[in-house]
Amino acid sequence: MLPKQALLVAWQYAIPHVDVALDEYLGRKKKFSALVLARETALASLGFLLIYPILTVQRRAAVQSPTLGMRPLLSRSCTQLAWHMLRHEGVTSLYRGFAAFTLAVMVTQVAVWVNAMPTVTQYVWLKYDDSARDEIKRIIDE
Amino acid sequence: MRLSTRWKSALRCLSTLHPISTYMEELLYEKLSESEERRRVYGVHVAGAANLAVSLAVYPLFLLGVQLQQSPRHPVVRLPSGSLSQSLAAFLFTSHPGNKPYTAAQFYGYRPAVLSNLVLGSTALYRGCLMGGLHFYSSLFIQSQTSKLLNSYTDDQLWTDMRNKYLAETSLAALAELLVHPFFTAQSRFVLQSNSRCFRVYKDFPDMVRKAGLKELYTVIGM
Repeated sequence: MLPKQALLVAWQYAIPHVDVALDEYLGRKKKFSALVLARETALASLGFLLIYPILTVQRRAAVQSPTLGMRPLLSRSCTQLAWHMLRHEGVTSLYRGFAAFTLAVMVTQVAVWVNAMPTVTQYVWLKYDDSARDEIKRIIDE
Repeated sequence: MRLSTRWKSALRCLSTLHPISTYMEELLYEKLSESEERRRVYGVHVAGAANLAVSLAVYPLFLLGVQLQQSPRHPVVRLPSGSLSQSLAAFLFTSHPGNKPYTAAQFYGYRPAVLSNLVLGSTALYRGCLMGGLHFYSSLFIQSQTSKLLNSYTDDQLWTDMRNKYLAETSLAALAELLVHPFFTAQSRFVLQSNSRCFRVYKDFPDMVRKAGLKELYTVIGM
């Protein structure tokens, strides 16, 4: 159980550093923009996607049972099962269902981020304050 | 940003009374304090409800991912349908689980998986949803509570060291996983088994514990 958790926690620790590096690279300091939201969502989702092959092996092993209606028992060991999958089905077998899972994780992360923002009202008003001030001044000057 | 005529006239009127910047700032702070207050009172419940709704909405996508994760990738056998025996063989070896109810469903791609789920009905899209939710949210809850407890009882100096913190958080996450891992196995098995009442392997979670045993539910805990 440790590799999955260790990877996830390591990624959580790496997020702030990646965030700062991306900020420096992109040169954007503006908060509450769609780009920031997309970037944070992608960063948060990547942690789940890093552990996807481990999850696949776990899923495959979890349904192995001598019971009728489940998958036949190949191996009790995770490494042996992973090796079996790689040998007989190829690397792509570890990433089966990746697109559906990614989409689901991304949607969930967007929801988490929108929830984490103070409120939608605040978000809208901050955007309004940034973008509309010049236009309002221009309208009044006319 | 485009403003309506009504807004424009209102802003013109207001600007005669106050300078626009002051007015906007006041309005902004008013809105901020209002939203802060609302967030303090309802924030947690609203966020929880929204998360739950989104999780329920995207669960069929997770299910699709899990179904494909569980299906071994084999080359699709395309049998010629010349004679009757060959046609029958092609029918029997089709990937559709409806033809072989006692065999675990196996999907070669997204299309058969989606079609199969649609054929089986709307409840088929939420197989193992409760177990999946219990696994994910229970582990998060246990992790947060134990982390809070440790933070309050241990020295601050200990937590400032990055390595200690990393090790502690990983151990806590592993501990939480140790407790809730049977739900993960249960979700996987509920997703795999037939949705039809007659062909179900396990009726519910207690039935699974009785038939499979705890040892089988704790399989592959090592990863």
